[in-house]
Amino acid sequence: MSKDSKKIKTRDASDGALGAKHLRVGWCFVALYLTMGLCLEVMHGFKVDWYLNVSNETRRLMFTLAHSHGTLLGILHIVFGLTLKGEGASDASWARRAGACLTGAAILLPGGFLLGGVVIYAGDPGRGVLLVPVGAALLLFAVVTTALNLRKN
Amino acid sequence: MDFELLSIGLLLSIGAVFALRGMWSEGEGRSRWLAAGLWTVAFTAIAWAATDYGPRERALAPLTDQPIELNVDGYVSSRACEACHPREYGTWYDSYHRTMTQFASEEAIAAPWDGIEVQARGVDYKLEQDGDEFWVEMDDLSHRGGGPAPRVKRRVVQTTGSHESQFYWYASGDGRRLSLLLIYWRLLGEDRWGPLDGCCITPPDSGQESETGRWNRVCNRCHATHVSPRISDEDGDGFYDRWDTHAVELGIACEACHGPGGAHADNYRDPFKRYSAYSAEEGATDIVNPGKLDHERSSEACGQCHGILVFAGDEGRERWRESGFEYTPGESLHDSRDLVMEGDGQFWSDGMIRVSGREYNGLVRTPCFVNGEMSCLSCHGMHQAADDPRPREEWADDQLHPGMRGNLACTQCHKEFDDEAYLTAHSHHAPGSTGSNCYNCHMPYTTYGLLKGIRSHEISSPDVRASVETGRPNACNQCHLDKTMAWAAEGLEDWYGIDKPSLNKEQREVAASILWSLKGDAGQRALMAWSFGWESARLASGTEWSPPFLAALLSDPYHAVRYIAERSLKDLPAAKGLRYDYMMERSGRNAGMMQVLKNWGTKQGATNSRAAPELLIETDGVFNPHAMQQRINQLLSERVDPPLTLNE
Repeated sequence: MSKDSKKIKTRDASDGALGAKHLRVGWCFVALYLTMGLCLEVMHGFKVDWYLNVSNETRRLMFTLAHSHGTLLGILHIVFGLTLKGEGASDASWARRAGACLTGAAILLPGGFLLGGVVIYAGDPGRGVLLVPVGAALLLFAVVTTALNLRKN
Repeated sequence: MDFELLSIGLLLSIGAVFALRGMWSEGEGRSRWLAAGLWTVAFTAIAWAATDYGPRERALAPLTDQPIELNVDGYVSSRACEACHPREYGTWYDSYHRTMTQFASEEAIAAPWDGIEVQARGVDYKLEQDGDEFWVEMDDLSHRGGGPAPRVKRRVVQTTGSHESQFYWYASGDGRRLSLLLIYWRLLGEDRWGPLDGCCITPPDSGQESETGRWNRVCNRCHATHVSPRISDEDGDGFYDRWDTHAVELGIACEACHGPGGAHADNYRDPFKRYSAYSAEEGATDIVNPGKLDHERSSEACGQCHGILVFAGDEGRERWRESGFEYTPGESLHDSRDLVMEGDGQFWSDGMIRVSGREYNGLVRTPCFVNGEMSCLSCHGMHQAADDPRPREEWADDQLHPGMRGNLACTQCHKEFDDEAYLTAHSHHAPGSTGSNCYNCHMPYTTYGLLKGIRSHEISSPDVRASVETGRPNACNQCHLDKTMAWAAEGLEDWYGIDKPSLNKEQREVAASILWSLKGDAGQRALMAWSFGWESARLASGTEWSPPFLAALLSDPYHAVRYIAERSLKDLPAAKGLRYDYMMERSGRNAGMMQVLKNWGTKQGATNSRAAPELLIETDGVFNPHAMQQRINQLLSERVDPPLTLNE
């Protein structure tokens, strides 16, 4: 077996691996943030003041945003993984860069909202919300990178 | 490092591990360093912003110089109610009850503030806003030495009112004791500043006080929810030196009417209990619903504020000074406080209430309450009904049920008056006319407050004898401003068999409104000034004859009377081009009065030479303005005008 064919085989193996990794990460995020949704419903059910009291409206908003963004980013990971598999693009360096940014966004964006709701300052969220724009920038980078490179392919 | 910063750092690091690793391993040369650089910038920006985040400091700064909100005694504040009762919470939120007292804020302060300069009663007030703080620069009111008072800056921390007028309280610097700013903002589209003593009937030479401590001692009783005044004389020198007032909530909130809600909120956190209660359609038993109390108890919930009450004993007063009122809705109000039913400054001499905000005093004298089941809630609702089509603003103005400005208020019990013929036979007024409105005869505007006439809230019948004996305008003459009391007495005798009282020459020959305007006390004059602008009275009496009498009130010694007269006059032709402000110096006010008289006299001379002695219009074929002015001056000289304060 030549060096070239070995290299190609390795790439073939990693091809599926990156797509599968994002599928796995995506489902994990969906599971995590759907569980969070369940927790929010429980807090509604038991009228937990810490969540529902009108003076905690900011917390309620932040948690709702964390739940929706987390779930959405999980789904985006799944879509990204399926895209890589469908397009056979896992070996491309843009895919690894976009994937890394997507993972960073999935941590920082909903995480920022979540943290911004844990500690609140009256009508203002906690400082964790500062992570949100960083996560949003990563997400934007990942989405734009994917869109441009898929078009090239 | 606190928990929050630690969590941010941890999350950012995890994000960095994933994002940066991928970008680093796949990037080349310059792009690697670009990614690392961007990440470093982001990290630094977040670190800087997180340590310099403004709201944190503001939220954590303790309020030491103003009353605060604190849940005590089983009260949990409206914030706990919204989760289960969003509609009720929403209607209350849009009501003027909520905004009766507010922390000073951009949202709460209705007046223009930053950079505004106001001059009132010879004092300059300079208003400034610094971020979310509101300041006023003014003369030091505590200055007692010689020479001019030094200028001081005070922080405005609290507001009172949001519907008709708004008043401002500043931190006195003595504990949580507040002082009142001596200017107030008039709302309702009038949008103007005025001196504090111009808002009420108070003798013009009584001076202005900053009322330091008044909010802590008096106003909070009704303008906030479950207040603990926490006022005491710690060193025994006879003066209060501890001012540590707190309230469950500023403004009149849910628990003012429903009582403490802590047990109810705790109980119904359990969703199974809630849904069980829904399906059983049963009401909660662990909280008071005034709508389900009998008419006396439910009215007492309103009467705790809308009545004139005194402590039943000194012990009760002492306990109140520390921990507030013991009364909670559903209990008998009269166990802890006595209802006052007479007294100068608040009542007509026969015991009918004459100042606003005390409607409970009128209700308890009403036969429909005494012999029937009428309550405040017969007409008013504290929550707008879901099927009420009116805009929220319209409902919030008086919080009446739909139709309650008309005869439905009475016909919900007195159903016979639903029949138009029956109603006409009774009222002797055309159906649909203002004289056919039950209220206008049976609950006239004989209460004064908020710079206007307000319905008495005591259902009574028109009575000229009562007018003669108490000076209170009767319903007939308050609408038919151009008629004499003799005319009203004859009508009442013809229609209802009411005996005519004995009347003097003036009462027989001069329109009652003119007598009350020129010879009445300040309260009567204020009511008449308002009545001249009341649309129903204008329809019944016309407006072409009234300017001379409103003009006379433009130079009234009482600021409030002048204010109301100016407002009633301004849309009449005689006021065209009028240069007048109710707080002008006397010479300016007199000039304004003369201008109105000139405008009116010119028109009157040209268009109407009909004699009307009851309106002091004398003619010999040609209108004689001098004869009229002489009669006005004569009546003014007969005015008995004792200093009058109407305690609204």
